Amino acid sequence: MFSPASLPLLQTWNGAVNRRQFFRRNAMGLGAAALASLLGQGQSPAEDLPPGTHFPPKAKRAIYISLIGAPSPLDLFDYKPNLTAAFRKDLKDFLAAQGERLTGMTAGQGAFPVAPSIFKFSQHGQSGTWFSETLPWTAKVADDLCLIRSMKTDAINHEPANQLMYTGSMISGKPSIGSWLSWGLGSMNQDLPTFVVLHATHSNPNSNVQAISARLWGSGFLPGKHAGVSLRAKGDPVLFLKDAPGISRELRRHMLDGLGALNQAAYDQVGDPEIQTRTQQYEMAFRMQASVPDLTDLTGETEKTFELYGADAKDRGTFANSALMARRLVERGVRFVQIFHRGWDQHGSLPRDIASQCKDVDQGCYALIQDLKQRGMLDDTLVVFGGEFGRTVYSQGNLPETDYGRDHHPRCFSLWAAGGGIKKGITYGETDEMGYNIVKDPVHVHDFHATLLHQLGINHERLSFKYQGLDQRLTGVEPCKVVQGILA
Amino acid sequence: MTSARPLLTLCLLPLGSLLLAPAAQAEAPISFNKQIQPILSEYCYHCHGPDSATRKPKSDPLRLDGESFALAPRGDAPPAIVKGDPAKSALIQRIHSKDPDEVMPPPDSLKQLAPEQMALLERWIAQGGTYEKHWSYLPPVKPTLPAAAGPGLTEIDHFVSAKLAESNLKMNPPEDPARAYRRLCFDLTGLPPQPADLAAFLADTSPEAWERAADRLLATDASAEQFARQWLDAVRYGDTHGIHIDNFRSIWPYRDWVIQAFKANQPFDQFTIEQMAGDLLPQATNAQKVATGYNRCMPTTGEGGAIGEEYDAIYAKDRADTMGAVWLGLTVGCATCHDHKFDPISTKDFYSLTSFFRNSPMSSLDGNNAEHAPVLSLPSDADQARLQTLPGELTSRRQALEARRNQAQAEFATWLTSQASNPAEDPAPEALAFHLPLNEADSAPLAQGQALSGPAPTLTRQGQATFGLLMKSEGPASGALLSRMDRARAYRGWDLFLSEGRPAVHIVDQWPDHALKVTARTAPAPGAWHHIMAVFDGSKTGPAAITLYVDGVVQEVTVDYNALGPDISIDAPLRLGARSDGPDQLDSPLSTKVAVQDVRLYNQALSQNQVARLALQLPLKQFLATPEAARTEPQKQTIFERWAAISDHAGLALRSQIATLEQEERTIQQRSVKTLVMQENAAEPFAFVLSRGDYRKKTDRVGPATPASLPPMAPAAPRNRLGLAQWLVSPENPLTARVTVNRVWGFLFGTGIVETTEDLGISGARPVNQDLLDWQAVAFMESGWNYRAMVKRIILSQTYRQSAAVDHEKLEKDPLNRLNSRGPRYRLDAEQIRDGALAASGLLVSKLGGPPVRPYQPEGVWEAVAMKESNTRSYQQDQGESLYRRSMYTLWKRTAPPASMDILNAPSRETFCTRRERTNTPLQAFVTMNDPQFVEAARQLASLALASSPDQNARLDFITLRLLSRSFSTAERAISQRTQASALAFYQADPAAAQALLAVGATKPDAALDPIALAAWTIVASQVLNTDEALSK
Repeated sequence: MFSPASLPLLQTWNGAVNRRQFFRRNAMGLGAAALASLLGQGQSPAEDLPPGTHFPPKAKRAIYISLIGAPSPLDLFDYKPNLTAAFRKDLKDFLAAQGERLTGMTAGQGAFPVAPSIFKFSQHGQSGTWFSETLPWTAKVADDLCLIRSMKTDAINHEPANQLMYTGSMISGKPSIGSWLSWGLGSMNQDLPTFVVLHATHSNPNSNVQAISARLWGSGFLPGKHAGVSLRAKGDPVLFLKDAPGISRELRRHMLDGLGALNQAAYDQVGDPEIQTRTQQYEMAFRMQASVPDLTDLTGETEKTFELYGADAKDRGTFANSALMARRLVERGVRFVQIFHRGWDQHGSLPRDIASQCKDVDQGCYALIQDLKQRGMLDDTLVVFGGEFGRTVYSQGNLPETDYGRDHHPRCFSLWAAGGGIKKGITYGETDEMGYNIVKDPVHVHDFHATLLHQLGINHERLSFKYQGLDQRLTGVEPCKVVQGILA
Repeated sequence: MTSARPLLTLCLLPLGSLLLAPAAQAEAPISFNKQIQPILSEYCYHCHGPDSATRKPKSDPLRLDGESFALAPRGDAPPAIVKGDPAKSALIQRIHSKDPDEVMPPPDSLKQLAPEQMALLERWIAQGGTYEKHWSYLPPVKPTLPAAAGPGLTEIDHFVSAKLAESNLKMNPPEDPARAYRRLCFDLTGLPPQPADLAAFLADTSPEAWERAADRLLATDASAEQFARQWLDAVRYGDTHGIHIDNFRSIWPYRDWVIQAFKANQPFDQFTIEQMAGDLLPQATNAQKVATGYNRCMPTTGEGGAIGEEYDAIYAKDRADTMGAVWLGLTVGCATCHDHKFDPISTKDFYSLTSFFRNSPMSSLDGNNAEHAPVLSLPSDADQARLQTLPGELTSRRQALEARRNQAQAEFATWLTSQASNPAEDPAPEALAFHLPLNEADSAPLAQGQALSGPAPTLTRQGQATFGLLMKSEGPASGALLSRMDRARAYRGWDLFLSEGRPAVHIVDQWPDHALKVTARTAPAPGAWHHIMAVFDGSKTGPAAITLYVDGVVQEVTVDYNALGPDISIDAPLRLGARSDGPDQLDSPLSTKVAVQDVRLYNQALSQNQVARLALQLPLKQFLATPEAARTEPQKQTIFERWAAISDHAGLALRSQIATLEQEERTIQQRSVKTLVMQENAAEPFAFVLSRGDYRKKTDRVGPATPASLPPMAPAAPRNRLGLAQWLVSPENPLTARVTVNRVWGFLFGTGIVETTEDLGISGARPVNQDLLDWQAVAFMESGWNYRAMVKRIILSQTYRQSAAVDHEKLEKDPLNRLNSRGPRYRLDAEQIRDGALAASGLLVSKLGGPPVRPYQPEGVWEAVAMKESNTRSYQQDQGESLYRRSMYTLWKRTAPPASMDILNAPSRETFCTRRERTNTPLQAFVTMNDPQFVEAARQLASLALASSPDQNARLDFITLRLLSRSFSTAERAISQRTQASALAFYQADPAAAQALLAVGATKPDAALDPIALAAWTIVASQVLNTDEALSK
């Protein structure tokens, strides 16, 4: 990534001073970098709006649960009872007529046999939302969720699809959702990053795992400080957070006091304001050395909490633990938390592997929703759960009685959202009998992004950054819309 | 140029407020390029610019990006611009309109012109509304030197001083010599000065001292490394493929070529041509071919489902984008989906550019192969000599063997007769631990995954075993043939496996991190019986522990996993046709019908001869069972071949010689470094224009051509990469020299003369001092593209040598030092910080080039993102000197770049990077305080300081001299001593803490030193290392 085109405000000396104040103001939840560009366009925000917003936000923060590899909607959310009768029906001619691309993995297949889901579906809650038996816990909060069954994307393979889902573009180098929010809305806390990424482990060693990389939580052309900070499940949660062995907190304080004094001496002589900023960053580092362990120390959580999330919430890095950490992060004023859970790419052995994948995340999702609700935070916290595309209705490879796999399918997939001003207990959008095409209320990835931003008080067309001569946006250049039908 | 008249015209306008501009300003000539174009580009070109697709209104599209368009009458409406008459110009009328349907820019664009901008447009039209070609498309000419006075001013200083004078600023006085020398060393070599060099420089009081120092530093290897490292950012060099599995990629010889090119100060035009098209030069040398690795630096994929055509389009775009950014300073990629919104680059231009790069035999998918063809093998000199003689020796032996084949027929006939009455025996009956003949039904498919009864021999990690069988498959099967493995225990155990027909062996402690897997390179033909056997010898290390045979012949294998753990013993049952997976489920069942016979397990490692005897048994048995009349020649031939491989002693000697020679050839090939290179197909390059950039929507076929708006390629130039490269560095090209000089200026001053070093086009930033840039660009070309001379011109200037101190006036008038009112001072690059710490502490290992290294990295950085199949999943830290090499040699995994470097803003190398970001974050403080590399460096530096003198002040001097190139002031000393006293008191009270601190790092602390004092001084050194001054240049 190269450095961004400078913000007008930061280009002035006042800006240089402000860069420091900015930091402090951000820390108190007062500043927002995007303000500069918005003001530059002659739009001054109303006095009573939070910084960076264009209208009163419904959500102050968001938690995005990203299932990498693309879970099969036909086996979790999108109930297709008529498929049972079509077991092993060859879709070769149907697919040819559809004209959809096939990936390199199934393009050579002789037949494309319909594989109905092996899982039982039933309706849950007053809303009667359908869930398969793989998600018994999530089903209990059916009435809090908005299930979208008509998501669609442009990409057919993981890398481009993940980049589109999490950065708005199939091409690398674009800022991620969280970094846009960090840049646009600023920070709400003094001691923690604005955008935190958690990597949840998956328990099944056979699950087909896709690679991810920092480009999914990177800042692209936005300033680097808006990139997501990964809290690691192994070793220090933040790289090199812990002082080297043999350095006590007091000694570090002495060392930093001296360092500050030496820097001050240099500043007195050279006058470069960046020196002062450096000292402040070391002080922030010192504070993080307390705030991050406090964050990860779960001893203060009650047994009831662990009952809610499940016993494995005590084990670092599990999904349940990540869900609990997400709650603790947003509680502490982190704006955007993204949990990545990998292993959802079921080209084969789907019944076996997707069941264990669901088991990893199911109770944690339920617990997170319940926990936020109990704490009165669900109303202004947007929670999202979803993958990067759908899966084919036909089996990849041959189709024995009880086993199948599904290839990538970009035309439709499912995702749920909860809280943050989203309608509760509804199912939005519809696919055809085959779960192949959307027949009602399609939601493109960019529409979903526009909606997510909208709930956080942002007009997606106005959250833009000048780069390579274009006003770059999370939602790209093609027209897209906020999904009004899911707004409470 | 202007008079009062336009002002009168303005009076007719309804907007009185605009008239408040003082007359003096109205008279200043307005520059289209500097003042007007940025406004038109920002507010108008999107709908009234070069892109025909978005031009409005649809009925009668209007363009404002050229004078002729803007002046053209438009039906009843006035032209957009009426020269000299703002009031009559539709453009001015529309920007002032109160009608939301009329006003420009329209409200839904969310853009609004500021009153000053409107006034500027009016004054420009009043002055005549003259357009200019965009500045960077006009050839640079050497401007006249502006007058400037001062000691030792160079041409550069004249331009800088003149610009400063416009703001009533003057350059700072020269920097303190030691600080200046430190700046110079970091800029030219990436390393801090060594105290002896610093002393020598300070002692040289002659006027040429600075230039001599520059020459000396420029000639060092370290300087070549520093310049190469900057170049590698631009061309996105990395050591992994970058997408999906992100396996290792063998291309570091290209990185070393870049270093050598800078070391030789290769002229930049030649440097360009060799990288872009070295393979197309007449009698291209190996080095020139290695240089074409430039074309292979982009990330590639081997993802299972990836569609080749889609990626071909992505790669071509990536290459065109990179060339655009690095040489032309144009965002050519903006024309992927539509004509460029701002610059005169059409989609046709863009796809014509991509065609240059689409004409290679490189496959779309990299196969996750480090040696993704085309590759160049680079044997050592000695191996190269041997490769000249080897083929001849092999040919003569093969001819001799052929002759021997004929001679041996009689002997063979005798033997065959004898076998009829006295068939072959088991070659090692005493070691046969398990035998299952399964000979009742020759073609019955195997019951998959059935557990076999009987004694199941146990394989141990240090033990020996041989296992195998006869098999016949209906097609290229995948799955387990024979296994003893427990999936529930991370696949511990072993198996004989088929991978799309290719035999393979897994030996597993814990899959996949502690496992060995080899796979034969070729598959035996389906539909015929084959003898497959594996020999495991636990006394050998690595893949040598497994030898895989097909029909008695040793197989060439690929090594898929090579990290066998200590324990492979397992009590799972032996299974055929699948692996065990709980009571009822099967793992990896065979995908295709496979018949199996004669399953054998020996508890020793059989010799090649013994295995070959077993392989002979079945064909021999079948042959003998066939009535003589029905016996076929191929049957007999098979038996002869196998017999000859075992029993023909004269032939065996020849075979063994051939095998040795072949092995030698293979070994040489294997140990020869491979590097990815570019090659050209014979046909003429072409590409399709892709509608909206979609690879599925091909439209016009286009040939290789450079953008129509730039000077054309020479008529005689070849229409391929070579012609393109020559065009890039032709004297007519207005861009390459400017872009290069500008980028280098950015390296030395922190920001380019044009801030957007990758974009000098219309949408890019304006040059703050175009004359300064153009003068240097012309000088660069006149020097024969002499890179070092270009750098030297800058560093010899007073501009570069001035003090970095800044006062309030300069902060106000030149806040970001874009006018160069002071010397450059900003945080060092990631590599400079780490290399600097290593150099100061004496840990740095100076060694030029070679394979990438793996220094310290916290656990889990790779694992957190990598796929389990990736061979860059588990980070195996190096030992010894590889821990202390310069950072540019650290293995660059694109999906998880070296963690400390990443935090300090090193790019991921996924896309081109011509300027790095420089953030200032708390995460960076953690790196330089707590990363073991920096803790160890602080301790080593403290250790050297302690050993150097018993005097406290001298010790502190020792440290600051190496990190800051100076001694502390009295006040600073006092601060440092307070820290030292606190640390000393702490470690005296807690000696174990001192030991713990000193134990950090792979080097051992000096045992002769008092650990408590050393720990305290480590804190002092770390404190100095973390000062803003130490981290800045």
